Amino acid sequence: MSIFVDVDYSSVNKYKEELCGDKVEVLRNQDSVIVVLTDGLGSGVKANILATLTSKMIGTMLSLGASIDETVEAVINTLPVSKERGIAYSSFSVLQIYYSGECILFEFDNPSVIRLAKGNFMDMKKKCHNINGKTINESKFKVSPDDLLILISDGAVRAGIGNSLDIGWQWENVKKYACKIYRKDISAKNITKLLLSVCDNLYEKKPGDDTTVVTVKIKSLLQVNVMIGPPADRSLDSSVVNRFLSEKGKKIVCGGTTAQIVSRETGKEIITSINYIDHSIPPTAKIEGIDLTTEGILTMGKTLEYARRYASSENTVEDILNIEKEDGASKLTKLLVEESTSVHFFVGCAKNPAHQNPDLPLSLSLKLQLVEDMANCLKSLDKEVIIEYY
Amino acid sequence: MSKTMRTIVLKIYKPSKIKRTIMDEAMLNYSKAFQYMLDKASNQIDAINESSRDKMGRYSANLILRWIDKDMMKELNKFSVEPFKDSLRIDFASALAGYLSLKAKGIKANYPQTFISEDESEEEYDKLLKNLTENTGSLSYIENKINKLINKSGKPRSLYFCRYSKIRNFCLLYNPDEDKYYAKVYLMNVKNEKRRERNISEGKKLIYISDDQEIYKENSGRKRYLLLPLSFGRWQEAYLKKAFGKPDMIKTARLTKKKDRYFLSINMEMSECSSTEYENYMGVSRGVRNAVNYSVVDKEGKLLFEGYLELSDQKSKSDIHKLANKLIIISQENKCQIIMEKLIRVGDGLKEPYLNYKNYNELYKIIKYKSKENALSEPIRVSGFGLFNTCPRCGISSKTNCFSNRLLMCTHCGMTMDIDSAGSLNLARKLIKYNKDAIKIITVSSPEGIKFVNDDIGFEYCPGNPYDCAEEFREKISTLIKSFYDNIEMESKKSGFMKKYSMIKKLEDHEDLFEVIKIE
Repeated sequence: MSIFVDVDYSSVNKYKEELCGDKVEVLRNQDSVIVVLTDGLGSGVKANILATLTSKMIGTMLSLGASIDETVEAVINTLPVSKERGIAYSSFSVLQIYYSGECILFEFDNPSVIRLAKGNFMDMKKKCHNINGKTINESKFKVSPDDLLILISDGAVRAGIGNSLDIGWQWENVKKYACKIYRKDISAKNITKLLLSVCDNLYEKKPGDDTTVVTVKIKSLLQVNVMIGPPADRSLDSSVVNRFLSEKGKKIVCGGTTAQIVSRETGKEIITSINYIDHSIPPTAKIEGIDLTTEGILTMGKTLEYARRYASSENTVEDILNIEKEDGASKLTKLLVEESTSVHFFVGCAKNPAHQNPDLPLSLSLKLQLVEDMANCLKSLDKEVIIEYY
Repeated sequence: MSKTMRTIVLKIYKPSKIKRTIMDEAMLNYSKAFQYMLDKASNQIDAINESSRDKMGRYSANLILRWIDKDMMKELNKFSVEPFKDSLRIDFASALAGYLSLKAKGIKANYPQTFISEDESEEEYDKLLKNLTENTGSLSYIENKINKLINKSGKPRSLYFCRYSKIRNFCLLYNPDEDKYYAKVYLMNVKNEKRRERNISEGKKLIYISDDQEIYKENSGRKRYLLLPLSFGRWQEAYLKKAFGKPDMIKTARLTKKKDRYFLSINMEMSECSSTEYENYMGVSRGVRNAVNYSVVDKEGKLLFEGYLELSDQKSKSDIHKLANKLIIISQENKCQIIMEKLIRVGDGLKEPYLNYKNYNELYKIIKYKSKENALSEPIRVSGFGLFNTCPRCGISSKTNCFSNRLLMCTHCGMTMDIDSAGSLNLARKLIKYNKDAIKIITVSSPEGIKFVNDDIGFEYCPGNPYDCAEEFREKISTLIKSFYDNIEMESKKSGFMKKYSMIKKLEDHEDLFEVIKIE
């Protein structure tokens, strides 16, 4: 496995509809990630059923080992056509990304996938297939880290019709906007949120159609290692620190005592910042060779709060933007939820004397619980998580 | 309470042929006398220049008046200007002071020429043509001169009345039975054959607009003045009614003629009421779709309401006045501090705006004086830079935020908004943002230890213990503020003074200075 495929998607339903007529399936297997976006004809319950049937059909066939082209052909042949409107009951896009970087894409009646390579739009060569009177476009290409693939439903292209834009946002403008917002460190979630936010605003909060955005960001593998708390056995300090430092990827130290141990073992000075960016979060410090040094429990608690909001399906643009701030918790959140592809926790089980005060509600179990909860949150974001206790 | 001058223009209503003749003659005589004085002064301009500066080096009309001696005053009688000789002196002195001031500033200014007779203009015209044939002047220069000649030839200067008086110069009268107003203007000397015994029909009651509201009586004898009926709109009438209660607000006037119609422009001194306390802010910005957009926000920046105002394609001065009046009403009703763009050196980047800079700046000037009269604070002008590409939601300013010249689409938070609305909303929140923006104090490492620095205010402080120095920090800031005010004269000459001053004010105005500083 040489790349990580970060996928995020979100939808807004047509105004006053309970169910979304667009459906997204993300399937991860040993050698690839498959993303399916279907758009059911019409809106509401009927469209939802049609979209779900189509996506489930595709998803099931693929997960049972069928190849993507076999699946597409099978679905196309069985896809019913509306007698009144003369169009299929569902449109779809199926994208398979191998961990080697090879990609294959099939599109039927959905707006074209927007492909950006290092922020620049890349046109894809399409091969047209005519199956049972329906035109399917097939594209094969290779992606690299920092490349983006954006799948959108028709609702995004039509956003703004009848309001601020006479003929809707249009695919060309969606593409231009995606190019404008691209930065190397922007996450898939951020892009999805931004595009959907624009669509919702263009519709003036009353979408005229179900609108879905799926963002696939190709990332290099990045492990983030977090050392939190001193080991229960002091004699293990040296070996734990050495193990921690020998791990590849970024290194984070949480906690004052932990920082002192790392500083002692490495011989590097701790330089404390006096800048309280957020009064509720203690300032960070610097140790040479460590990417981020924060305070312990308070910072981790806040980080968990930010991470949960970030991962929530009901998150807002503000929840995404909040982690761009400069305080310790925001920086830690950004490293864990956006930058990492895997996280390795080194959890020290020593009891903090300050935490044993019965007047204080804190305890060792709180720290462990925080780490567990954080791990679960990260797993929900498709990160690989390892926890080691000392 | 400060004062401001307001000019109201009243039309002379259907003057008879004889009254027209009298007015024409008076203005012609006035103009000839004025030109006579100018011609005399041009021969002694250097001497006048020397003697007419006050202690501050400014040209004073009062000092120029001293040049007009008794002999000159006697000579002016040949122009039959006795009824308005005083006014003539003052008008001349002001004009000359203006000319000398411009020259002193290095601004290109031709020596004033107020009147040229038709004979003289013909002579001048011949001279210019000769210059053209002899190639002693460029075509554009001569064309310009000829145009000026045409504009001035035979056209009189407006006649100035320097004081409001029942027995000289000019005053106003009111007929309560017909609800009509009249102007009494002294235009004739005792030798003028056109003087009449009767100026009004019998039984008509006229009251002087004066403190004593004396009733006009026609005594025997021929009158040196005319009684001229006036016509005007409701706006002017409101001022005349104010004058009834306070006649001393009427100061000076000018009699002018335009395209065969006569006008009396009256200058009135308005006392401004002290401003009422504002509760909200109103941003008034230019627009693309409409002339102006306005947004009203509360002191926290929450949008209360917004709107727009349209203007005819002509964009005449009177249209802009109407626009200003509407904005004043909205501002009054909502107790707003008006905030407008400062479009002088730096623009707002708006493409295809409805109002150009000139129209918008004109609107500002009109709102400025109207706000004083209506007990509102003067409008505040702020830089328009980035107004239309700043997202009102997240505050990020970037050219990439412009989707089109009508739609803002933020590339940071996805907000979309009509550009006109975004502009006025950003404008309304400018002062709030300014007050919230913290003063940055940078921490730098130095051989002495951690140092706190801000170059804009000249602050540099190296504490003994940077982790516990809040009191000492406060003292250092207080010392800085005191030193600033003690040396303010010297400070005002340095570049960046205004920026430093505004930061010092901000530090001063906050009890807890840590609320307005940000340590980085």
